[in-house]
Amino acid sequence: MATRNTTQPSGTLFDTLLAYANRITAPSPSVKEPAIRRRIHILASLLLVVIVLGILGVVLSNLIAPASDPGEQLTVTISTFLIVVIFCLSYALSRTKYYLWGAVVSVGYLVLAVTVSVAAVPENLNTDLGYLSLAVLLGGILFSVRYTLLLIAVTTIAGILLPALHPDVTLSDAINILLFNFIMSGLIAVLVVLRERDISQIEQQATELVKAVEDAKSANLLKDEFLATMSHELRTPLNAIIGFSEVMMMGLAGQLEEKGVHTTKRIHHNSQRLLQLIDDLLDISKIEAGRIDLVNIEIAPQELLADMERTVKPQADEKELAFIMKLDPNLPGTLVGDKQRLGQIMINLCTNAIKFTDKGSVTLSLRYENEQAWCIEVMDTGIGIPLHAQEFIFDKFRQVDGTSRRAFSGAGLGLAIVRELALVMRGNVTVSSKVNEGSTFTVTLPIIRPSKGG
Amino acid sequence: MPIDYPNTCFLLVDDEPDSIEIVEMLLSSKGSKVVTASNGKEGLALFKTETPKFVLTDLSMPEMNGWDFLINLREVESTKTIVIAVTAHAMDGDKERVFSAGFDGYIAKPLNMFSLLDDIEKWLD
Repeated sequence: MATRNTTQPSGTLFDTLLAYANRITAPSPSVKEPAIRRRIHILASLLLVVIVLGILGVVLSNLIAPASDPGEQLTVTISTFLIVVIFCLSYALSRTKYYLWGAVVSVGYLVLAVTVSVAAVPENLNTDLGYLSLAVLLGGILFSVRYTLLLIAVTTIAGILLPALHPDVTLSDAINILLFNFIMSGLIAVLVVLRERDISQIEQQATELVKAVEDAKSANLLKDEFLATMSHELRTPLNAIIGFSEVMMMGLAGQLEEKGVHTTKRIHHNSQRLLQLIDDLLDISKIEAGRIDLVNIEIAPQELLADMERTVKPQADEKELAFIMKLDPNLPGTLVGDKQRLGQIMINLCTNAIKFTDKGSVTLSLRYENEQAWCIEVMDTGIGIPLHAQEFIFDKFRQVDGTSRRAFSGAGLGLAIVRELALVMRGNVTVSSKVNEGSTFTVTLPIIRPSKGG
Repeated sequence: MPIDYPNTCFLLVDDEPDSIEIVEMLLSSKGSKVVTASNGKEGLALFKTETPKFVLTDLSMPEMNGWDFLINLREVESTKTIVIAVTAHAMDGDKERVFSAGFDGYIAKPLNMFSLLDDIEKWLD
């Protein structure tokens, strides 16, 4: 309830006052039940605010219109406190889920105010109106400066209009204006309540949002678990397929005929493709969930190329393509980066290049760009990529030929992974290509030098 | 081409018979003695009687998993045994967990028979 004002002041003077009161009326440790303790705390704070405001109101109304006898003083005091209580109660209620009761209280007050002002006999009002006016303005300032300004504007207009509308009124124009103030104070309360109702709705939405975020988090955890389980379950049968086909290729399950060797190789090749697909799918979902942790170590660029010699060259050899590797001598001898992920970028780009090249060469260069950047560049002499397709080839599951009759297999995840990894490494990837001449993919990455002495 | 290692006894522990059979075929072809178990408990019993030099074990298994198997094995071994985790848990961090548990090596399934022989040779040296 009102306790949250200490942490979330909404800016009105009342909230500030309540926050101070909250600090003063620390909950008594003797009350064990937390809910009851909280309620006592809130009521004590409200009571403190009511007392302070009430005394302030009485003092100020006496300054403006001093009471002529003890009876009148009592009336002034009771009236002031009553108004303060009504204001505080409706406002405090309006900040809770009981805001409708806040509205009821303030509307009740408005009705009372209108009734009093209509039934008022001018002679009796003369001295009481001073503090009423003060209470109104005080309430306005306490709860909303904006509505107070509105009030002043309306009363000024009313002050001009009322005497004109009521030429027979015997009291001064000022009293009419003050009466109007009285009614307007009720309006302030109603408006404040309405505004606070909006706030409580917003707060309710905020609570729902927090819940939604928590749900999403737990859904993400489930997804992680699911991915780990799927990875495990898919690998187990694949292990058997790949393992048995390798054992057969090694001739350990009896010597195979030429046709048998061919068939086994196809089984092996396709199961490797399936494995790659599983790895790519797991990778892309991990990257998209922002769960890639780079393991940055010191790497010599030639090490990276040596790895490619092992993994990529056999693929190029199989298609009788030249696989050329170039190392820029201007590159620093040691770079800091995630070796495995850099390897993945190079493998994906090279595999892609080999797939779409039927004759000629695939060139992998590690190039020095400037003080801040270096590049992994893969150039092929393949079929090329038409300009319109260059925009989407980095999207998931996209190939230039998206039809089912396409000539090239693959899920279209390799380049998407390259782009995501480049972004994670604070770099980017670009492509330039001419149909039937070839394509060049360039991944530009920041140069991270090893820290000296480290 | 990897050399034969006929004097080495291997213990394979895995609840997947297929996984065992593949590696058994490969190692038997090298003339090695191979004993197999389908969980950590059986593996431990075999370890005590056969005292293999080299152990390849799965991690997720019924009765006794690979992690507990390793702990028990380390308690009873008289000389240092090479224990390699062979697992289909190939997500980030799995490898690190395996090494910090005290395994001597980590191989992700699916196994590559060609590189498995290279790896075994490396570990045997």
